[in-house]
Amino acid sequence: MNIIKLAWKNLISKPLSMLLNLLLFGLGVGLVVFLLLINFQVNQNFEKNLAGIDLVVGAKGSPMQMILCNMYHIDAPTGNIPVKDIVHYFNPKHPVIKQAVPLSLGDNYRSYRIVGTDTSFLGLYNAKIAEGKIWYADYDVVIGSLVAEKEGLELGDQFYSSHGLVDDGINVHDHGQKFKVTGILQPSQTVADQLILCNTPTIWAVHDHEEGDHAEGTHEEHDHADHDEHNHEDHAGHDHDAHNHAGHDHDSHKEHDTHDHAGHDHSTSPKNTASTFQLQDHPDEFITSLLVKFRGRGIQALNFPRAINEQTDMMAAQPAWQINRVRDMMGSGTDMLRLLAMAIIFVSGISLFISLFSSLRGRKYELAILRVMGGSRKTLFSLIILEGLILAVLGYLLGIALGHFGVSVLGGQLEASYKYSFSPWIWLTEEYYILGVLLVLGFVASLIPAIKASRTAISETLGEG
Amino acid sequence: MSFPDMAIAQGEHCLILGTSGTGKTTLLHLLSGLLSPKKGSIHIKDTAIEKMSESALDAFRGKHIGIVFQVPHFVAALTVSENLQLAQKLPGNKVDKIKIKQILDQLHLGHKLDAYPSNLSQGEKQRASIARAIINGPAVIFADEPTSALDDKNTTEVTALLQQTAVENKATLIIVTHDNRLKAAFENKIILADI
Repeated sequence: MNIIKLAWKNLISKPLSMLLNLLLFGLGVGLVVFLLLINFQVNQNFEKNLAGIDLVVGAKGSPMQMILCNMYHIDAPTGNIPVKDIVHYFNPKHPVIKQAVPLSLGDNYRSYRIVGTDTSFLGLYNAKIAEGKIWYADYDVVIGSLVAEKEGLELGDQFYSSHGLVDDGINVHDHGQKFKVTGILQPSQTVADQLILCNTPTIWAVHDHEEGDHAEGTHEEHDHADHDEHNHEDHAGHDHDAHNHAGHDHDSHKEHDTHDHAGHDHSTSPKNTASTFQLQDHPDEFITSLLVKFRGRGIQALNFPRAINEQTDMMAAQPAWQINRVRDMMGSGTDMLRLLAMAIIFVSGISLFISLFSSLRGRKYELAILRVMGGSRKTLFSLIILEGLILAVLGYLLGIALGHFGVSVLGGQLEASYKYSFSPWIWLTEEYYILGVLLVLGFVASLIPAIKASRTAISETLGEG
Repeated sequence: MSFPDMAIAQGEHCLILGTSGTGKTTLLHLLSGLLSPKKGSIHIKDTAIEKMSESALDAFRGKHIGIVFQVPHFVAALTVSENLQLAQKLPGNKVDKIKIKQILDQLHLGHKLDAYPSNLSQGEKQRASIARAIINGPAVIFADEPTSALDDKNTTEVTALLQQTAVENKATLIIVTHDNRLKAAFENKIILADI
C-alpha cells in the first residue's frame, strides 16, 4: 500500500466524479488528436499527389476545381479541351514542357473513376504493376490496389462502367463492351490506388456508344465505320470526312491501316494499342485535361500559364498554389475546431481543480489521520498531486483512443469524398507533446488543492471529533 | 493553558481525568506531537519531541506513538487491512500482512480484514482504530475518550482490550477521559483541575 495506490483507490472510490473528469479530458484530447491525424494525412495526401506536376491545363472554369478534379479526383471536371489545341505540347522539343500526360474522365465503376490516359501516368505517381501487365487494347484496364481490394477485382475480371463520376446505380452502360482487368497496381499511397486506368480512346469509345444511342444494341459487332460515323455526329466539321472506308490509305491514322473495316474482331486485332496510338493523330477529339511537367523554372516557365490563360480558350493552374489555397480554407475550419478542443481541455483542468478542491472538505479527517499515521505534509501534497496526474494521464489515454477510433470510424466516410484512405494507425510526435501539456495541466490544477491539503491543521481537525 | 509536570514510566497504565474544558484533548495532542508547546518539554523514549523537525516528528509519531481517537477515522477508500498496511508503510516500516491478520484476530476483527470502514459497527471501528494504534508496536498508546460513544458492555471490552494490548506490546497506556466508568480499572490516575 503505497501513496500511488492510495491515490488510485481514492479516485475509484468516487467513480462518477472520476468519470466526468476523464470524459472531459478524453473529449478535448480526442478532438485534438483527431484533428491532428486528419490534418496530417490530408496534407500528406496533397503532398504525395503533387507528383511533381507543375501545371494542369483544362477547360476554363474554377482553377481550384480543376486541380481537385484532375489531380485528387474529388471534384467534377471543368469541361473538355480539344486535342488540336494541345498537340503541340507533346512536341519533345517544346521549350518549356518536359512531359505532358493527358487525362480523360467521365466514367466510373462503383464510384472509382475510370481515367483514360497514357502509360506515362504511372510514372508520375511512381505506380508499378503488381500483377498482370499494362493495358494493351481498348477496354483493357489497369486498376489501383485499393480498387482491387475493395471491389475484389482480379486479373481477367470484366465489368461495365457507369456514366459520370459517382455511381448512382442508374447510368450503367450495361450495353456495349465490358472493361477487362489486365493489370493491378502495387499500392503507391497516392490517388493512383483508387483509379481505374485505360487508354484515352476507350473513354471516347464508351461515350460514342452512349451518345450514339444504338437501337439495335449489338455493339460487339460494330465495325469501325460505325465508330467513325458516331464521331462525325458528335463533332461536326472535323476532318474525318477524308476517310475512305472502302480501302482508304490514310497516313496519319496508322492504326486504321491494320484494320479490316468490314467486320473486324476487337479481340484478335485490337486498334489503339499502346504502341500504335498517338493522341496527336486525333486532333478533333477531346480530353479533360493535361498534367504538365516543366523542364525548369525559368522565366519562360513562369510566363507559360499566363500565356495559356490569356491567349487560349483553356485554363492553366499551378497545383502547389491552388493546394495552398485549399489548405488556407481548410485551415480556418480546423483552427476553429482546435480552439474548441483547447477550450474543452482548459475546462477539464478547471473541472479537475474543482473536484479535487471540493473533495478536501470531506477528506480533512482522512488527511489528518494520514499525518497521525506517520505521513508528512509532503505525503499529503504528493497524494493530491498524484490524484490530479493520474486523472490527466488516464484522460490523455482515453483521448488518444477516442481520437484514433474517431479516425477509423469517420475515416471511411472521408475516404469516399477525399479519395484517400485515412489510417488510425499512425502516431504523431504531437501526441507526445499533448501528454506533456496534460501533465503540466494536471499538476497546475492540483497544485492549490495539494497545498491546501498539506496545510491541514491536524490538531484542530481531530479535536473537532 | 498550562499543565502540571508529569512522568509516566515505560509500560505503566495511567488515566488522565478531567471534566470538559480542562484541556484534556489539548494535553493529549501536545503529548503525541500533534501540537507543539509554547513552553516546556515533552520526552518520549528519551527524545524531546518538541525539538524535532515537523517531518521527523511525523515519522516518529507513526513509529512509536499509537493514538485512539474519540471518533475513529479511517481512509474511507481503503479496507481495514489496507488502512493497517498504510499505517505500516507511511512511517517507513515494511508491510507485514501476517502481523495485520494476527492483530485483527486478537481484536476479534479477523473476519473484517477486507471490509471497508463504512461497513463496520461503532464498536468494530473502535477496535479497528486500536489495531491501527498498535500495528507498529508503539512505545506509548494514547487514547482520547475512547469509550464515550460506547455502551457499558463495549466500554468494559474496549478498556480491557487497551490494557491487554498495551501489556502485550509492553507499551505505556495513557487514556484521557471524563468517563467515570473507567476509574475502577486503573490504579494510576491524574486528575486535571478546572482552569
